[in-house]
Amino acid sequence: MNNKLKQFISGADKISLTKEEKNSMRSALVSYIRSNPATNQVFFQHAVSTQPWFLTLFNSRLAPVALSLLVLLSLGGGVSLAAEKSLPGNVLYPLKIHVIEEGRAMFALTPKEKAIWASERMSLRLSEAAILVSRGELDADTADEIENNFELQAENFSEQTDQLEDEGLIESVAELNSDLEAVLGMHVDILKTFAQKSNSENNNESAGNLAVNVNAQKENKTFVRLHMEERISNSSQNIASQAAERRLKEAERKIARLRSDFEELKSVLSAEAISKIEFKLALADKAVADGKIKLESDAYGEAFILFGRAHRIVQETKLFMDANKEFEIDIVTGGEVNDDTEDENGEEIEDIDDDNSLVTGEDKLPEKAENEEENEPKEEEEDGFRINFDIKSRLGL
Amino acid sequence: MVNNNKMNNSATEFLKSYDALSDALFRHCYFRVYERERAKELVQETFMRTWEYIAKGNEVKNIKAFLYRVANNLVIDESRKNKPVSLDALREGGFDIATPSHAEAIATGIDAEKVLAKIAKLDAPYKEVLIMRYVDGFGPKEIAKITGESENVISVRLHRATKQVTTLIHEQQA
Repeated sequence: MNNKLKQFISGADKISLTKEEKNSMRSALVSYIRSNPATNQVFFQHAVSTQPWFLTLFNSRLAPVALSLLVLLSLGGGVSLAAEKSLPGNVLYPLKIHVIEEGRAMFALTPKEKAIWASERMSLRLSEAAILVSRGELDADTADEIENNFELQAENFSEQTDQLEDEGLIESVAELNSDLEAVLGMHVDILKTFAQKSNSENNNESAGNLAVNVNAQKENKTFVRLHMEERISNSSQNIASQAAERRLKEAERKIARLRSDFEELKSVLSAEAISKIEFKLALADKAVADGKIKLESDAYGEAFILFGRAHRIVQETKLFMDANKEFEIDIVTGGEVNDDTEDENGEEIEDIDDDNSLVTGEDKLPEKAENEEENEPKEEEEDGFRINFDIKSRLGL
Repeated sequence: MVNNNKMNNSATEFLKSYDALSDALFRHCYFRVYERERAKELVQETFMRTWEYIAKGNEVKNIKAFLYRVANNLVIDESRKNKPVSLDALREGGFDIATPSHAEAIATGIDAEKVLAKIAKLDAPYKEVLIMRYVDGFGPKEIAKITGESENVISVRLHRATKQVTTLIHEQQA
C-alpha cells in the first residue's frame, strides 16, 4: 500500500490554486477583514516591549517558571541536582519537568532548537519509564503521568516542525522526524523487552500500553518523514543534491562517533549486544555506500533517503547500546519481539514500515560489510540531536 | 484598531496564514468534494468564518488545526447534499492522476488513479480520515483534534479505511 499511497500523495501535491485564484480570494478576504475589523489583538501579540527582558518574563505566561527558577536558585545546586535525577512519583520530579526543563526550553530560540529539545524531553520521559519498569514500579497512574508529559512534548514537537514546514525548511522537518522516529522505535523495543521480562502483571500491562502509544507516535513520524522525503525527491536537482550532500556528511560523522563510543563501551557489553551493534554498524555503512552510488548517478532524492536511513540506524543503535550498558539486559529489537499489538493503534500505516525495514526487524547483513575498512572522519562537531539515555548521569542510577 | 488603510497585527498575521495554508486547505476540500469551484468557495468560507471568530475577540492557539476544523465542518455540511463522483470529473478538475513514474507503476502494477477512485467511493468518515492522513499529512492525534473524535476512534477508522481501499484494489486486480 505504501508505494500506491506515495504515488497518490505525489499526484495530490500537484493540486493547488492558480496564482490568479489565490490573489483573487486573498483580495476578497482582505475586503472582508476590513469590513469586519478585530476588536482587539487576541490572535497574535507582537507588540514590541520596552521592558528589560527579565521583567518581561515576570509579566508573561512564563511567570510561574521564572519565579520557580528564582526559588530554585535560592535553594542551591544540591536540590537542583537531586531534582534533575528524580523519577515520577518523587517529590522533586515536578521541579525537574516544570522548572529545570522549562528553564532550559527558554534557551531554545529557533523552531528547530525547540523541536530538538521537545524530542529530547520525549526521550527522557521514556527513559524514566524504562527505569521504573525495570524496577517493577510502573503502575497505571505513573504510566499515565509519563504519557501525558510525553504527549505534551509530542505536540510541542509537531508545532515546531509545522512552523519549519511553513517556512519551507522541508529538509529539517525530514531530519527531525527521522531522528525521532528512530529513537521512539528503540524506546518501544526497550519497553516491550522489559514488559516481557517483568514478573508484575500491572507493570507489564502499563509498559505494554505505553509501548503501543509510543509506537503510534513513531508511525506518525514515519509518515511525516516519508512525505518530506517525497517532497525533497521531487524538488529541483540542485536542492536535492545539496540536501543529500549535507545528509551524507552528517551520516558519516554520526557513524564515526558511534563507532568510537562502541569501542569504548565494548568491554561492558554482552557478546550478543556487541554482535547486534556490529551488525547495525555494517547496515549503516551499507546504507551510506548505497547512497553514494545513487549520488554519483545523480539520483539525489534516493541518495537523501538512503543517508537518512543510515542516520536512523545510528540513532537507534546508540540508544540500544546505552540501554544495554545501563540495564545490563539484552534489548530485543524490532522483529525479534512478538509484536501483536499493532492493531490497536498503529496498523493503519503498516505498509509504511516496509520502507523502514532496515531499521526495524527485517535487517539483512550486507555481505561485504565485515571486510569493509572503517572510514571514520575525525570531525568533532556536535550532533544536532542527542539521545538522552545516559541514565547514570541524568537520572541518578 | 483596524481602519481601511491600515490593518492590525492580527489581520496581518491572519493573511500570512492564508498565504501559507490556502493551497493545502484547497487540496483538502478538493479531495473531499471533488469540485474545483466548490472547493474554492469552501476555502474562502473557511477563512472568512475563522476571521469572524477571531474578530469577535476569541483566541486561536493553533491556527492550522482551527482552519482545518472549520473546513471539515463545512465539508460535512456539504456532504449532506452529496453528489456521485466520477473520475472524469476529477480529470476535468485538473488532477493529473497518472503521475507515478513508469518504473513505479510497473513495479506495483497499480497507479494513483486506482487509489483515488477507491477513496472516492468510501463512506464519508473513511474518506475524511484518509484525506487528512495522506493528503494533508496529519497524524491520528491531529485528526482526532480536528474532527472532535477520540484518537482511538480515528486510529481504528484509518485502519479500516486503508484496509477497505486495499481490498477494493485487490478485488479489481483479481
